[in-house]
Amino acid sequence: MDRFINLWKKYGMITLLLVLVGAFSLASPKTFFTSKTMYNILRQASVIGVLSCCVTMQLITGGIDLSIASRLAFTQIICAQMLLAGIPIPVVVVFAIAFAAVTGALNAVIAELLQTNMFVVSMASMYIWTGICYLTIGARTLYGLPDSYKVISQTLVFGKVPSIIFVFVASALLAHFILSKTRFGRYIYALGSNREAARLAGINVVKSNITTHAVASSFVGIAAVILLSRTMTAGAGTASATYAFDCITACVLGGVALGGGRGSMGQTVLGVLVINVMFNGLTIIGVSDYWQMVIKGIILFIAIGLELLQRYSNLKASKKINVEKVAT
Amino acid sequence: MQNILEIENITKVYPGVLALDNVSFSIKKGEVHGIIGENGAGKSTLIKTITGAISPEGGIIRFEGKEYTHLTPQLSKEIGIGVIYQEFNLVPALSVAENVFLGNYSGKGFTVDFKEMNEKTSKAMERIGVRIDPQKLVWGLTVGHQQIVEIMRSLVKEVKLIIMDEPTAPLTKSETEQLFKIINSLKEQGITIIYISHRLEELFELTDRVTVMRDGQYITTLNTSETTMKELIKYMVGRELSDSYPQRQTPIGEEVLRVENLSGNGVSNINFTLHKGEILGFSGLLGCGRTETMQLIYGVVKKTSGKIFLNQQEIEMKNTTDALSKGIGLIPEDRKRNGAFLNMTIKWNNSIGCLRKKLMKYGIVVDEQKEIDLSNEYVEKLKVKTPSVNQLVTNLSGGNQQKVVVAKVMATDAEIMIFDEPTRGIDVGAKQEMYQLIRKMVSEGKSVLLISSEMGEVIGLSDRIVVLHEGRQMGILESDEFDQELILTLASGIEVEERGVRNHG
Ligand SMILES: Nc1ncnc2c1ncn2[C@@H]1O[C@H](COP(=O)(O)OP(=O)(O)OP(=O)(O)O)[C@@H](O)[C@H]1O
Ligand SMILES: [Mg+2]
Repeated sequence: MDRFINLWKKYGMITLLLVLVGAFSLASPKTFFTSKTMYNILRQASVIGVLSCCVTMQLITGGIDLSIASRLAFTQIICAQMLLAGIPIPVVVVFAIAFAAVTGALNAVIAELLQTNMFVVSMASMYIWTGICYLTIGARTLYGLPDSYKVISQTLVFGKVPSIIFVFVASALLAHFILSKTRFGRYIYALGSNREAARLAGINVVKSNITTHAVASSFVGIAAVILLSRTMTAGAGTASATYAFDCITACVLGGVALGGGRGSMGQTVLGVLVINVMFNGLTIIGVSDYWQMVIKGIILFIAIGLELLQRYSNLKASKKINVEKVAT
Repeated sequence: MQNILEIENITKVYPGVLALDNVSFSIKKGEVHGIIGENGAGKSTLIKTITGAISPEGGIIRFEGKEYTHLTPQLSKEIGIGVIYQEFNLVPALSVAENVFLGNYSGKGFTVDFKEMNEKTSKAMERIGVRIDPQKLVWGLTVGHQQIVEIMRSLVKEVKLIIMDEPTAPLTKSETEQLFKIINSLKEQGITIIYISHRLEELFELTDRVTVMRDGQYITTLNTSETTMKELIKYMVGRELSDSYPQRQTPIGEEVLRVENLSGNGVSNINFTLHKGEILGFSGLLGCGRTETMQLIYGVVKKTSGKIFLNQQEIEMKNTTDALSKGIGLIPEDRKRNGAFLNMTIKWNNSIGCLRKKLMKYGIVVDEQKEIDLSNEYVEKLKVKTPSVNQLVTNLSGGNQQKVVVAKVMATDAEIMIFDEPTRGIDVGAKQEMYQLIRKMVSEGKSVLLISSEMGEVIGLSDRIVVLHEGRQMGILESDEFDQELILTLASGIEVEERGVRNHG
C-alpha cells in the first residue's frame, strides 16, 4: 500500500493521462487522436489552466477562493468596455492584470483584517463582484470588439498552434518559477504549512499573504484577457461559471493539498490536462453532459481520497484490521 | 516474575532507514522499565509497534501470553495498553475534559454528560496535584498543561501497561516530581510502565530495569540498581562522554540588549541587561513568564509598557520580521506548533529564516546549491540522523526534529539568539554537541537568552540567571551565587533579600 501511494504520487497522473488518451483514441480513432482535436483540447484547457495557476498558489497558502469566476467576469467586462472605447490593447492587458491583482489583494486584506479564512471572505466577494457585473451591463452581452484583439489568442503560431496555448504554457512556467525558485515562493509554502512557525521564523505573514493573493490573482487577469480574446464577447453570465470548482478539482486531482503547504504547478498542469482530455473524450464518444457532471463529482471524491491516503500514508497501515490471536 | 510483554524479532523499515532491526526483549509484569537510546535509535518506533500505530515488517508481540502479529490502536487499547506519545495528540478546539475522554464520552444515548466528565477530569487532576479548568480549551494551554492532559487520558482508563514516551520533557521540576509520585503509585497498583527518557537521572530514580537501543538495534537490558550512568551512556553512544559544560573562552563584552520595566503578555517590570558574548539564563516554574518575556522581546506580542534598548538605542519591536532584521532570532518552545514545518524537507526548514540574508542569487531566486551546502553543514554540526537533507521533517525522530528547529534559527546568524528549551528531547550526546555550539557562538560574539527547565543546563551554561515567578522578576544571580536551592526558592516566589540578590542590571 505504501508503495502504491509512492508510485501514484510519482507517476499516477501521467499514467492516467496516457491511458485516457490511449483509451479515447482506441474508442474513436478518427476523431479523437487527431492534431486538430489535441490542439482543441489544449485550447479549451488554456483558460482553466491559467486560472489554475492562481488557484494553485491560493491552495498552497491554505486558502480557497470562490470569487475567481466573478472577478474574471468583471475584469473581462471592463476590458471589453475599454476596447470598445478605443483604448490600445497593451494598456487594456496591463490594466486587466493589475485590476485582477488588486481585487485578489483586497480579498486577502479583508481576510487579514477580520482574521478569518479566505473561504468566507471570497464567498462574500463572489456575491459582490457578481452583483457588480450585472449592475454594470445588466443582461447585455458586449461584442463588436476590434478584430485586432483576436491576435492574443487566435493567432496560429507555426501555422497551426493557437497562441492561447502559449499563454497557458507561459503562465504555468511563470507560476512554476515563482513557486519553486523564488524566496517569495518559499513564503507561500511556509504560510500554508505552518503559519505560526512562519511568523516566528521572521516572515511577515500578513504581507506575504496579501502579496500572494495579489500575484495569484494577476493570473485571473491574464485569464480574462485570453478568454475575452477567444470569445470576443463579454457578459455577466461568466460570473456564475464554475471556474473556481473546475480549477480546484484539477489542482486536487493533480495532488495539490487542500489544507495548504503541499503541491506544485507540474501537478496542477497534469490535473488540468487529465480533466480536459477526459471530458473532451467523453463528449466525443457521446456521454451526456449530465453524466459528465456525475463523473466530475466522483473524480473529485477520488482525488480527495487519494490526498487523504497520502497524508496518512504512515498511519494507514494501522487501519488494517487483521488480528491473529494464538493462545499459548 | 512473569513477563507481561514479549517482543520478538521486530523489524521496521522506512525508505532509507532501518528503524528497528530484529529487536527482541521482554518486560516483566509490574516493573518500571526504562528505554534509552540516541535520537533516532528507534524508541518511539518500537512503542508505536506495541500500540499498533504502525505495523512492523516482521516479528511478534506477546502480551499476557497471547501473540499478536497485527495490533491496531483499538485492539491495544482493549487489551489494556495505554500510551502517552512523544508528540501530543490533542484536539485543540475541544476542552480539557473532552480531550481526556475523547472517544469515551460518558452519557446516555446521544447526549454527553459534560458535568460528570468535568468532575471526573478534575478528580483525575487532583491525583497528580494540578488544577486546570476542565472546561478550558486545549488551544490556550501551555505545553506543560497539554502534557498533563495527555497523561490524564491514560489515567482515566483501565490499563495494565502504560507506555510513556518522554513524558517529562516539557514538564517543570515540581510537575515531574508529581508525575513520579503517580508512576510509583501506579506501580504499587500492579500496573507495568515503560518509560522513555533522555534524562538518565530520572531512570535511576524510577526504573527497575533499563533497555538500551542503538541504531535500531537492541543492545542490552540492565538492572538499574547494578549499573551506572557512565555505563548506560557508553552502551548508548558507544563512547564515554564528559559530563562537564564547556567553559567560557572569551570575556563578556559591552551591552547589546537592555530591557527596562518591560510589561505586557502576562509579565510585569522585567529588567535585565544582556552583554555581547554572554549567556543569560532564565529560570522559573511553569507559567512564570519566561516564554512570555521572550515573546515581547522578539515582537511576537506587543509590550504594553517599558523600554527595550538594542545597542543602547531604544527600539520598538513591530513584529517578528522586524526583530529578525534587527538581529534577534528565536527558537520557539513548542516545536510542533511553532517551530517546525513538518511537511517540508530538512533543507527547506533550514533555509526559511535566512533566505534573504544568505541564499539569494539575482535578488529573488533561491540558490539551491548554497541551500544544500548550508543544510548539510548543520545536519553535520548538530548530528541530525537522516538519510539526506531532502527528508521530510515529519519523518524524523522527535529529537532530530528539534535539532532541525534549532538549526533553522542558528542559520540566521542573528546577533542575539533566544533559545527556549533548545535541548528538549535531545539525547545526552547531542546535548553536549549543542552546548559546544552555543559556547562557540558566544565566543564568536553572539549573545544568548537561554530558557531551560533543566536546572543543570541553566546553571552549567549561563553566565547569569534571571529568576521569574508568576510574571515577576525575583532576582538576577551572578555565577558565584548559582545554587539550585536558591533558584528554586526564588522561583517559588519567596523573596531572598537578606542574601543580597540583585534584581536589576
Ligand atoms: N515515518 C517515517 N518515515 C521515515 N523514517 C522514519 C519515520 N518515522 C521514523 N523514522 C526514522 O526511524 C528512526 C527511528 O525513529 P524513532 O522516532 O523511533 O527514534 P527515537 O529513538 O524515538 O528518537 P528520539 O529520541 O529523537 O525521539 C529515525 O531515524 C527516523 O528518522
Ligand atoms: Mg522518540
